[in-house]
Amino acid sequence: MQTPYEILGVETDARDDEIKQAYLQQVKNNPPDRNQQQFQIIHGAYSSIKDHKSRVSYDLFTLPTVNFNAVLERALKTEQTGTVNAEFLSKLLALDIDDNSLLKAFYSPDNT
Amino acid sequence: MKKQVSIPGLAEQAQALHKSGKYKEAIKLYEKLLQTPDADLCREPLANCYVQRAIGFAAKDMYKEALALWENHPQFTQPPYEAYDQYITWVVLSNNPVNIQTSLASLSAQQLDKQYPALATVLGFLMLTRHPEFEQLLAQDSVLIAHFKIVKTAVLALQNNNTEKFNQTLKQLPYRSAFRDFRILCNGIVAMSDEPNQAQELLTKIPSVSPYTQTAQILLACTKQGAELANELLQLSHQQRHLVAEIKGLNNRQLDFIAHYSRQYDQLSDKVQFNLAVQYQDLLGTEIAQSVCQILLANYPAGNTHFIKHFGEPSEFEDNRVKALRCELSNNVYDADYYWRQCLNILAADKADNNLPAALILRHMATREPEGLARTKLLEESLDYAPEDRHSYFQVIQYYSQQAASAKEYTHWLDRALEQFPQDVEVLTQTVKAATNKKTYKKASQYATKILKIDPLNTFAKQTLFSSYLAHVRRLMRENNYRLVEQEINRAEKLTLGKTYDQQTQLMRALLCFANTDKQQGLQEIINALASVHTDPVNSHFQAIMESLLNGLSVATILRELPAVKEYLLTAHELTRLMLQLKLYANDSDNWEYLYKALDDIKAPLKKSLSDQDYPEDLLLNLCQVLDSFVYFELLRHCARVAQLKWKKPVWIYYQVYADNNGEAADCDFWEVQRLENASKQAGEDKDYPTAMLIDKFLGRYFEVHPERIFEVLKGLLGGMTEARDDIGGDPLEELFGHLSDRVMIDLNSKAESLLKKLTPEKLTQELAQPVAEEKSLFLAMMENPEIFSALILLRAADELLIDIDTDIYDVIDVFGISANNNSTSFPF
Repeated sequence: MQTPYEILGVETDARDDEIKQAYLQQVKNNPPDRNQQQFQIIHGAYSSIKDHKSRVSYDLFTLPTVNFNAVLERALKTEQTGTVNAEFLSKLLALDIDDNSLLKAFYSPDNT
Repeated sequence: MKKQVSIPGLAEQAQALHKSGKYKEAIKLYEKLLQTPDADLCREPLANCYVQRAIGFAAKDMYKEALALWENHPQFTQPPYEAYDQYITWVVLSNNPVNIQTSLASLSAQQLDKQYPALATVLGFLMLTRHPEFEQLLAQDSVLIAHFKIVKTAVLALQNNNTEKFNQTLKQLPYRSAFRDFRILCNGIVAMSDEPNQAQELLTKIPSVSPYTQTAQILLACTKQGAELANELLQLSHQQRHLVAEIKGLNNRQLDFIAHYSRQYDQLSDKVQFNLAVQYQDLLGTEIAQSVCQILLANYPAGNTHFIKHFGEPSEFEDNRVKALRCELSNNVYDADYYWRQCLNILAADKADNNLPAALILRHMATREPEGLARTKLLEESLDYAPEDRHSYFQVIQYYSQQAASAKEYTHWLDRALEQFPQDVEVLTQTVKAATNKKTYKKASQYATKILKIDPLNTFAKQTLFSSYLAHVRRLMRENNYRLVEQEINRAEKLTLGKTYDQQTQLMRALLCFANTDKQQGLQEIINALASVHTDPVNSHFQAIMESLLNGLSVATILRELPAVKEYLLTAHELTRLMLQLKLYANDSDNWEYLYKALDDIKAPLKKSLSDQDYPEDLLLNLCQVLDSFVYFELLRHCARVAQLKWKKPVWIYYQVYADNNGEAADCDFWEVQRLENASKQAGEDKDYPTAMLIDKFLGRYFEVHPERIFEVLKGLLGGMTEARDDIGGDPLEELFGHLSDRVMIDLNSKAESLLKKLTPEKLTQELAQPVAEEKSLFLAMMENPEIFSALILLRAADELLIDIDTDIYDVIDVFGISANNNSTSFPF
């Protein structure tokens, strides 16, 4: 489950005005007449962290749960975007593949 | 050699085995059939069985066996041979260079491009990957080779970083090319760096049976991040993961993490997560690793030592906070409160400014408490930490406003709220209400004026000021200070509250004219003003009396000019208006004597209206509540009696008993208490909880004064009703007439006295006993027990007064145990 910070796409130390700006941007992208449910989620997230008092309250009364996806995100963080050049393509094509998978081509619906 | 004769059923058996996929057994039977006259019929199926068995072996990577089986089948059939394309692939996969060379060389361009597209795709893939030499072995005039040349040019362009040429070259491949999937793969590669979503879309288009699927899967992993990347990597081999790591820039430590994660991802317990976070804190960052581990400690306390070793002592506050929230989740409020208190102690000991979190914790604890003192105390404590929370003030004020014994606290918290929010209209409104309740009208006016400065349209403040001006006008009138009266009326008029208020000021001007300027003209103006406000004489009469009394004017002079009210029957609407007037004057005036006087003057038409008009029950209930608010029992009694005759409901029993005793619970007699207890029970059964509460409150007051009666009630509740009845059995008159109110008894007694003067006991017995057979025995019993005579005379009195007392002659006979055998009773004379 996403935190209000994640829903609004702001840092946990974001200022009131940054949070408001992010909220308005999210509402603009997800207007209530298009997706009422998503709007409610965005509005609920904004209400939870809109000012200092709300944020203290959120921090106090939200039962923390481990978001293991976030752990994975952090653990596998890289700077590279994952571009494949000719060298990588050659390596890719040179990788061993299961011989049997070659035979699957004969069971394709196109082949019947 | 002589041919065998045909074997009946053998062909059918072979076909059945063939159909069910038991090719080995089918082959045996078909081979037997070859020796029979049915041989021609079984050749084709036999060939098919060989091919199917070959395919089965190939699927198990037993290519040599597959080849041998397939090569057996042409002797039983004619070209084109079944699964020839697969046969070529098995030849390739069996790694026999001579056979490969022969087989590939035997393939015509026609076969490659038209007959065997799947084989062309596989051969295209093999030329690109592990067997580039096939290019020379295959038919050079085939489209496959032509397309392969295009693909080679494209790959060369990519090696030269000429993406444009790469794209242009790939576009030369037609849709139905054997390299169709390779082209999609290449398009995906081009999109990966800039548009990973589009790349994903393209790569997922490659069918799962394509030889390029595994390559596509590796590339797809490269387009993902975080958890999605982890999940993709789990599906890949070690070698493939390394390639993804190379493309994505993952280091060895990250690969190690994935290897570790892949071993445990399907049993990701708190312990496993904890250990992963500790072991790979260099990847996660100490802060995140610590936070993750602290959360996991709640469910994995065994990790505490490990935690301390890596991160030091866990945050005591966080530990208590998590425990408190977990207790709340399991509805364990008691322990939750303990942990929250621990949090508060930690915050208090901390030198940092923790007022807001402390206040929020206390307010949070208060939300779980039911409305009451405990909740209010928590809110008060929270306001000591952070006094800016309006809502908490209002909750505290509201609680104390409902407690009669907490007037001091109410004032204290109202003052604190006012100090904190001096410009808050709601706080000011509360202050005005409090001042009005305490009859400090000057203070109420001051705050109402302040509200109007903030909110010039505030109706409540205007009404308060209007009442204040009116009260001032009346005082000035009584002091004959007419010059200032005019001024105050003008100020009241400027408030512009609406027609009703204008009519009131018009009436005040008329009263001023009557008192100060011209009596006759004033009188006329009073009559006109009242006529504009009321449509009936009763309301006019009432207001005229009230205003005359409040302004110190002659009531009689004004009333003389008003129409008579005695016979007037009020409509429901007019009665409602009268109730509004009663409420208004009861609130405004601190002296209810005037109200009593005015009501005494109109009670005749009111009583008559209540008896004769068919008012709705709600209206009568409202009237009772209004009359009760300024304790006017005479009308309340009448109203309750009328209503109780119409609606036999607990609420009316309550009002009747309440009014009969002038609101004094202590004065109730035993039977009234019994009636109220039954009524309370009935109200509970009818789900009329307000009435049940009203009755219980009244009974509570009764038992405060008569604690000894509680025992009797408890006896009744515990099934001791029979005993109670036996006790009362000592007083048959109480049993017969105890349920009647004192008032009814007084009426019956006075009537009985007058009857005694007219009738002899014999005559009375004769008349009363006429409908029953025991006339004589009754008379004899009466002679024996004078209480029977008392009972009979009371029955007669009730008959004369037409009061239904729910007791008759049969009850008398029953209670006194009178029967025919009383004949034997000896006379005392």
